[in-house]
Amino acid sequence: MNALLLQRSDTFYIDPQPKSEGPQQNEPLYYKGEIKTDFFQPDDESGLKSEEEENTVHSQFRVPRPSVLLLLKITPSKQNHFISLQKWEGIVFKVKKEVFLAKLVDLTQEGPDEEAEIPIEEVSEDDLDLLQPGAVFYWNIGYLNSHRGQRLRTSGIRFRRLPAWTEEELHKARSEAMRIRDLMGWK
Amino acid sequence: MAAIRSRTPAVQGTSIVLLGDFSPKIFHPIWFAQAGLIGKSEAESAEIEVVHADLASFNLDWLKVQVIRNRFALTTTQESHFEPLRDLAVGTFKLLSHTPIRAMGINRDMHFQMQSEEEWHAFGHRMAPKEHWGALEKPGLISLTMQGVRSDESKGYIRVKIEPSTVVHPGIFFSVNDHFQVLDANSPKGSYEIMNLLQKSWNDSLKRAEQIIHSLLEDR
Repeated sequence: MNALLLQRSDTFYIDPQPKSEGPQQNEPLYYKGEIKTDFFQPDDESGLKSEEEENTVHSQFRVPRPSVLLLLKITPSKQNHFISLQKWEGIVFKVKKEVFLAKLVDLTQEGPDEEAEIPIEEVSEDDLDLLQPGAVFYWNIGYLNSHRGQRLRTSGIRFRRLPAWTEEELHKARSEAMRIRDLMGWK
Repeated sequence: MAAIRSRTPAVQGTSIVLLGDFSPKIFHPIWFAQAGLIGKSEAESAEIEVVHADLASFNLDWLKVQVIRNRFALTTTQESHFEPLRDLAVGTFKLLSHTPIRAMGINRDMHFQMQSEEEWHAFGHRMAPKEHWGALEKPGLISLTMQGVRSDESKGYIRVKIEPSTVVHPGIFFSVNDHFQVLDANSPKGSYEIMNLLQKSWNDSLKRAEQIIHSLLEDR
């Protein structure tokens, strides 16, 4: 991930001819360090490369069964950085003409659930189709530090996107609900 | 150490790294949009570096996706998108549920600005006392990795890395790798076990990583 922060531009290779049969210290074996891409590296580690290692790589990239040589110009990622001051998970329970009503769970610190009336214009166009009772969204207020060095205080809503429930999952959920109902003695 | 406690990281991020067998060329932004996992306009504005049989790499304004045949990685530096990052991983492998995944890392990274070079050096000395390094002239901490066993019932480990930050100076970089493995790594049966762990462990994992980092910062 740190590689996202590197201010440089690199070329990487999918090289058809690995240079050696074993790992070599200090030899650049990966690109950007975000994913360990070469077949010399232990493939059982799910962490990321260290900053020191990242900053000493030459961005060479190898794959186990290379069949082509590609030279690709990679530009540094321009991700902005967002620091949340306040964060909620919301569940929509009513959609009106210009606003929607939601229950909010504070993800920043423990506290009682709240209810809020939120203008629909706060929802991005991409997410409008997802706005319906039962939909889950995340609401963040915080600082957005742009890759150009600007800091903005912003508020953003993003709806959860998950594939639709399958029939099998719905069946399981209904069975579980009935099991709990029976357990509680409700009729 | 109150000053450090109140300090927020200058830069932070989270990533989910999955180890298994993947087909990188599937992972095109348009595929994610068609599956409803990202927005259509997000997909259209994606910065695609490469989508190839052996490697896929693209960026959205909040997300970096990198996939090779044995590794799938999602990264964000936006705290507002930590949950969407998890949802994207879960949604992806709900659709690709037969993908064998044998391990996962929930990784939390933070860079902290120190108030002075003295404070910065003092932290390095505390983490790696120099008394044993008399054979070196001006020894300095470049990278320290410590591993602990899991305190939950899952298989795996927790690895913490500390380095001087290359982003802020004087600053410290922390990286916590919360590593999970399937019970039978030799024959992972699809993605279900790891996705289940991801959903179940996500909140605790992020909280634990923050606690570890702050406990190191505040330890005197």
